Amino acid sequence: MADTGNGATLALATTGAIGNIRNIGEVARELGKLEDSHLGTTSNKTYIPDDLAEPGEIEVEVEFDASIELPGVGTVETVTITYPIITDGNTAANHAGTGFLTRVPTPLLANGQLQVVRVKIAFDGKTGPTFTAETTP
Amino acid sequence: MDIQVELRPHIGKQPTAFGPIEVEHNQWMIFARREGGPMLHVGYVGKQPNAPINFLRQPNGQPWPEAVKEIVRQAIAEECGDGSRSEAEPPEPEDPEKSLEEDILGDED
Repeated sequence: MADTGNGATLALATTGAIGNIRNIGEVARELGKLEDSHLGTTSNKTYIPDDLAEPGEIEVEVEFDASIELPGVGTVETVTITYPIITDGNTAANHAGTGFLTRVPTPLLANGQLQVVRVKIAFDGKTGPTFTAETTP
Repeated sequence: MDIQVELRPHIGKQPTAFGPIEVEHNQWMIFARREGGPMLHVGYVGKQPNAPINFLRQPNGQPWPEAVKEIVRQAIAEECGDGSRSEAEPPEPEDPEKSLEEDILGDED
């Protein structure tokens, strides 16, 4: 079912609020590939899957809020993205795991321009990340 | 206002070679309901001391009214024995025309 991102939230279990969120980027768990072509291989290179996957990173665009402290980088905490609810009364889908902030910039300050920053969060791969689909409570 | 608050462990499922396994995320999912109403997921709070409460939005996209947040804060302080939790969501201006009753009952339709 197609839906927009309106209503999605980001929860950082230790850091808490980082300001009003404009968008939350994709989170991709990525598995590399190892080439196993050899001198007898013909036509195409061949590959096998790597042993370990990258748990992924999130880039989050935030309206900078100068009235709250800048969050620190490197604090390991539970990171939870909660999706908008598709069916009223259900519990929203979520994507959660341990991770830490890796980039906390200050905004470009210019006339006629919103103060917006792009914060980066890396999942550390220690707990999760897990995706839980929307459920009936 | 009679609102019942319930904490449930946040458990996700991670795919493994043995099939999905349950993973505990070291935080509570906060649910709340009015008597006879639906149980709604209102936020998260870490299990560590002094963890901030991360409130979600109401199903209609509006922030939860401050009165509901305060009830949740108090319930969590009682449940977790921690009265010093701070607010994670930045305060947003409340719509004065929208009554608290509307905010709560509006999602039950």
